[in-house]
Amino acid sequence: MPFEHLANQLRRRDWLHWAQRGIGATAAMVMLARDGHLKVLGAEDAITAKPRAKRAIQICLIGGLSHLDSFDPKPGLDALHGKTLSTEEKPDIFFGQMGLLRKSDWAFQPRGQSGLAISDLFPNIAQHADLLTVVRSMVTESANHTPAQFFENSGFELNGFPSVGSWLSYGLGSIADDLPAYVVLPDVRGGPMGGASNWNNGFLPSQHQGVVFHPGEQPVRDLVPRRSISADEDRATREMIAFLNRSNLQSHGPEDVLAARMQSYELAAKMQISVPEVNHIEGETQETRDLYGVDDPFTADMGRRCLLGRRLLEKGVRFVQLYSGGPIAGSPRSSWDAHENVLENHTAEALRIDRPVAGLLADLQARGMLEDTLVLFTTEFGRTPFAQSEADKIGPGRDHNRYAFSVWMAGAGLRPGSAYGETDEIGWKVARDPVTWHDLHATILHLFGIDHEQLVYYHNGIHRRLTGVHGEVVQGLLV
Amino acid sequence: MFRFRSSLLMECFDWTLAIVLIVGHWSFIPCRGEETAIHALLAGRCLECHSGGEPRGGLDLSSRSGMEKGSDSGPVFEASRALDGSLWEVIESGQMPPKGKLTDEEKTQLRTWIEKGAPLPETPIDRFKVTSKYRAGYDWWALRPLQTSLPETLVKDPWIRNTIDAYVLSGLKTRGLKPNPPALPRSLLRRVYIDLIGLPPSYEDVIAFEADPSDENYRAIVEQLLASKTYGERWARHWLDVVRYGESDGFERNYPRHNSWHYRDWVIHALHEDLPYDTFVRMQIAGDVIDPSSNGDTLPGLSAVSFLVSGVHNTVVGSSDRMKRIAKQDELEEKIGTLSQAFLGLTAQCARCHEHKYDPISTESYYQLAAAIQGVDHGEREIVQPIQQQREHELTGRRQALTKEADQLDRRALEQTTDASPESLKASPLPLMAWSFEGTKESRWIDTIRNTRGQLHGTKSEDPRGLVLDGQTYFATDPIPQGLREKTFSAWVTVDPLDQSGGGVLSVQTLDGGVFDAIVYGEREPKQWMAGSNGFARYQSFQAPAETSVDKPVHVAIRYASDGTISAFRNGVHYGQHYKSTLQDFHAGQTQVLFGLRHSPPGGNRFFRGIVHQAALFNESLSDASIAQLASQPSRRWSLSEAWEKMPEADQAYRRELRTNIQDIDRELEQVRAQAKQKVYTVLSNPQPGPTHILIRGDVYNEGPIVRAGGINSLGESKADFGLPPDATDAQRRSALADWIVGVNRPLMARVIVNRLWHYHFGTGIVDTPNDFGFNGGRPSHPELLDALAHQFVDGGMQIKELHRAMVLSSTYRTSTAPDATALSIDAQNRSLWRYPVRRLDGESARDSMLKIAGVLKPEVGGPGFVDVDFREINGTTYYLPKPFETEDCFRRTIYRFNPRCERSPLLDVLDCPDPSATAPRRANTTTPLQALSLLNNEFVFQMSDALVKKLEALPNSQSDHDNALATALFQQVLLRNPTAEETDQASQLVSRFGAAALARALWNSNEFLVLE
Repeated sequence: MPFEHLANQLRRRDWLHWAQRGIGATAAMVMLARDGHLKVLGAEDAITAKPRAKRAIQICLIGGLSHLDSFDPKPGLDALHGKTLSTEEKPDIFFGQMGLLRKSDWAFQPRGQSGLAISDLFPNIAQHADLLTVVRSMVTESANHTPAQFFENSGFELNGFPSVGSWLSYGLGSIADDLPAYVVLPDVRGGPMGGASNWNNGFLPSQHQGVVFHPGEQPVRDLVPRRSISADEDRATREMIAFLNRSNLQSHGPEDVLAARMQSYELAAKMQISVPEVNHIEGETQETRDLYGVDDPFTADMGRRCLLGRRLLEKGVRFVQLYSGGPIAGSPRSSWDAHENVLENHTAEALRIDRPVAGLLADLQARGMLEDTLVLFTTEFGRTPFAQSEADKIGPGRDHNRYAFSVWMAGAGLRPGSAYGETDEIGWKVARDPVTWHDLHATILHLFGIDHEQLVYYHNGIHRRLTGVHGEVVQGLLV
Repeated sequence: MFRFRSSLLMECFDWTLAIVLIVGHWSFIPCRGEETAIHALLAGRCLECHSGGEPRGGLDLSSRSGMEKGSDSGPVFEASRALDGSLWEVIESGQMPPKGKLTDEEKTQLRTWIEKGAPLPETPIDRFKVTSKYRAGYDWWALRPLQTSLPETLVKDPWIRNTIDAYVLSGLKTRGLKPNPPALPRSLLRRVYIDLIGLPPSYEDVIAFEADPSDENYRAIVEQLLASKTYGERWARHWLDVVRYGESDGFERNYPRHNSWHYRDWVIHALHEDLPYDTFVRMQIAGDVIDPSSNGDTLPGLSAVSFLVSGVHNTVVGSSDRMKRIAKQDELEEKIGTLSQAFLGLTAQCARCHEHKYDPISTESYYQLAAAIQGVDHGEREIVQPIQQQREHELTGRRQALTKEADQLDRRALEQTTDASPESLKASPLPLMAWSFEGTKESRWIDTIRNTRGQLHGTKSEDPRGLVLDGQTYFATDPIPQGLREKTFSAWVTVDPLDQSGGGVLSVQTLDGGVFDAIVYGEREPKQWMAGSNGFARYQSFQAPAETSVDKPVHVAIRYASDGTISAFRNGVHYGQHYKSTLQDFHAGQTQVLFGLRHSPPGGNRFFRGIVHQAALFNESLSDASIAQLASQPSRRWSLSEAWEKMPEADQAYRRELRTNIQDIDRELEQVRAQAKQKVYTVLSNPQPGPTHILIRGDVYNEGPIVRAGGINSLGESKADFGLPPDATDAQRRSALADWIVGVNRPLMARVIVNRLWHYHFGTGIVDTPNDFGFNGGRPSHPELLDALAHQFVDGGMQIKELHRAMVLSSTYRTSTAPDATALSIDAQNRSLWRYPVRRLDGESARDSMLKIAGVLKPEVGGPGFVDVDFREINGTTYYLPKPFETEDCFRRTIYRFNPRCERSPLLDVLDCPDPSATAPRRANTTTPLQALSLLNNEFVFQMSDALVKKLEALPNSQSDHDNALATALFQQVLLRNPTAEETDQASQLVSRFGAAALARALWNSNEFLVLE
């Protein structure tokens, strides 16, 4: 049959982009190259280093995790508890109230062989200290949630820019052809502010957007009809479509667009099988369920999502993004935005994720996946060493701090059990080796073997990059 | 033989007689001397850092004096030992430039120059002066005047119908190609329908065109399509992509913009009317200032200029000065980027922090543009339409008279049939609705005046004292068929416990709870009554005493008078101080009454605890005496329906007629009021924006010199200066900007819009980056054609429809899409247009076509959009959740979809409808499994299948073989043709086994439907 031949040929030619290497396929679409003025890259042009990571999972803490209470021990701050931070500066914080300096609400301990200091806020994650690479010298541009979070995801403070997951999808595609390259698992309490803008494809073609997996019958939108259709009717209808398309192709003659559409229906059918399959965590052992805390009401939401994340990675998804925290404002807070009371807020939030995230690390390690899987644990900014209260009080809350905060990474190609960079005595500003999001993004791409300066997409006059015109790979984080 | 008019006007001469030309020499880089070459090299590779106010390392290489001064670490060059200095050293070693190494040729060029003593001019080299292989200069092709040189040689070819064909054919010939044969009439008709109006022809249209596919008939059809209302709806959608039109703020809050649709309607109307393009542009920059009919604000003026604010808007900027400044600058960049790309195809936003890296746009120019729009802010303005206001006045008068008569009748009925004292009846007007919750009969849930029903949510109590509210229970009526303006609430209520906060006793609210007025207890001040409203919009304290006991029911009334005064009464006497606020409109059919819940959704502190015994709602403001009267009768009951049952039939009929008349008036009033005073989301003008500084490197704290409002210096010589003082008004600045864009830059502006139309008609622009005609953008595939069309366009008064005619009437447009192996091997991308491109339908055309074919497309034009998302407001942030399926009110053209940022409907999303966060000059065209899944499984597809089958089954059917006939009819409707024998066979099998809807679903998914040939 001549058409089967054509379809095979197309398969080889990477027509269905997401299924195969993103750039190579998209180049056919970009079609901008004229007179050598535009770069159209094959993946091989951007892929310059030996890839250490094949896939990544990111846990985004919405609201701003206090580094002072988690991953950045500050004995100097303890000593100054209740003192005034004497500064002429009008700091760029959110509410503008500067109370007295406030020590950490948690004790720090050296952990594991490495002795990496982590507070008692995350007792379970702390057990895996030897796997972690903590960056204690993160800085960002905005002390305002939404811009800071967009920046964390996309390197820009505005709506409309693709996030790390979309860029990886564009650069590398998915490993599997029956699952999207980039999957998002939001907090059960709601999506983060900015909603789908956080994972939409921006100016990249739409197959690179994050696909949200929902709990329940319909994990992916329109995976199955809303009304009940008999399997026979569904099959017969699809056969009719295939028949119509075959005769259409026959009368029209060979055409890529037509053949690609035909193939997309075949892949859709495969997805209808693989999505429920990956979503079905019931087949996991009780031991695994316990590891993630799936059956404990406090950890059930994050536990389920961490476990699902591992399953998605196993099946070939390139980038999984989990959110810890929902909408930002309100009382009580449903995010890490501890303006009122760090002790209460962070205790409650950490309880939801500490065990699941520790479980994920343990499980990835046990399965040997940590070798080529990158785990990212990030937040949009840190919190202030002084309380958010009147100038003469040590209130229980802390405001936003864009001058210093901590994130950690684990897995593929990173230096384990280490901390990079330093903040000043009280953890207010970075004192040594500042790392920007652009630097971190460049490093992530580097771990995937991609040169961040080469991964570009032309949009409205600019060859856009994840890293803008900035970013240096942070060698100190790498093995 | 051949007459060539200077205007090149399309229809001026007979192209079939003549033609064509060998394409003239089109050079991008003019020849220049050695000196210019070295200047271009320096400009391209060195001067980005080593020139200007603060050159890197202190070294300024743009002039002789700069070079002589040397760098911070000393001299870089000595004429006597030219190649020993650090200048050559860093070049030779490859240390400079730091990024992007020099080629050997460039190094040699620099070496020669240095050996000659590195001559530089006295006045600094202008980096923008000439185009080089590094960047565009003032002589960049898109910035030059239109080339109007005539074709050199003419070839006779009957294929040529107009200018377009002449140029396209000459291009094809130079590549050894020939155009495809004409498309089949069916394909051509569908193509031109979808292209011009976004809807397919009917099967009957196809039959008629197949019978007469003449050129004359085709032209007539094109005229008919261009004249139809649907043309505006189709082409406005393209423009809305370009101007990133969205209906919510984006960012954290993402607040909906309910009144921004005026802009969408204005664009539809402007295109439909074929407003000259320069007017179209000017209106969008300064419509509120320049609208010629202006006599104060006009609706078109305010609507058009909404362009400037139709992008994202950050409403949460934090408290720090730095964040506020940055937010303001980001907003300016967003606007400058959109307007320079949309109208001029230039990416001026790239010059905010440094001079444009590729195009001749200086930072100074950027801040001149910033100064020009500095006074623009986002917000709503209200506009009054005198004619509608007059009509509103008349209707209100008539309504009052009729209502009075009807109420008198009702009162008489009550008087004649009840034992209430006539005095008490006289003193109290009839409520709009009233409830008596006492007793245990089920009828207590129905309002006694109009029988409006409701639903109890929560715990149902059998307590005969009234509606028992336990803090989780509330009662909500169905939507009420009357609108409300002035009104009075009256309720007998027992508060229990005394200490509670925020509960509502009686509320009138919009169905989503977004807007409400309510009797609220203890929300702002403990144990006090207040007039609650959305976001405290109409709240002030009555400054009245607190409740002290739970023992007895109290009568509480709140009166909303026509002048906005809000007064409260407790047990018939004034409760504290009244105050002046505003009157909220509640619309018929979109309003309901709640008891026990301040407003929807249920939750938080909005529940009231206690008992509501009786309540009434009046659609007028009662007198003090009437309220006192209400409070004096603890067991007051109205039962009008019972009363009327006892009245003679003739009276009943008369009353019904009166009520019907009132309802008709209410309906018209609703419309008239909506038009009489309209809120428009548009530019809020800050009349005196103050001076604008250049910000050095874009740093908000590094203010450079003051610039005055102006345009881009490199365009139109010195005219970029508007001649305005630094403190010019916003109106002066924007009208000057509008004039500058349409005046100085006519060639560029014309090229850009001509190219946009080409892009939409032919799938790819002559320049394939429609927003970017700069160095980084594409180069024109047919430069002379672009200029010729632009020239005609300018000469012909900038009529967009003329351009459509030129394009769709050309032979080029009418070719078939058939693949051709030879042509594919020479030009697979089809840039030379040997065939018409094969394209998938865009999302809107796919959805609209399905609606039309299924026979359910609603014809309503304009107005607020249909809403296919649920709004969820969580702590001040609005979320938009796609509804599980579209209700029938959504079956309008997709352009009328309420279009919030962040959330798209699944079907439109997978069909590449862009998120309106940034300008989208061309859409991606993807093929993905998710797209297949949505087209297969989205409920909309099933709805359209059902509707289509229902439509066909309603048609008379004489054939005996029903399945066969249905199958054939479905092919005709969806694919515009009869099925082949094999198709009939397969299709009727599917129909007989699973019904015709299964076949419809298959046809919607077929390539033949979704792909345009």
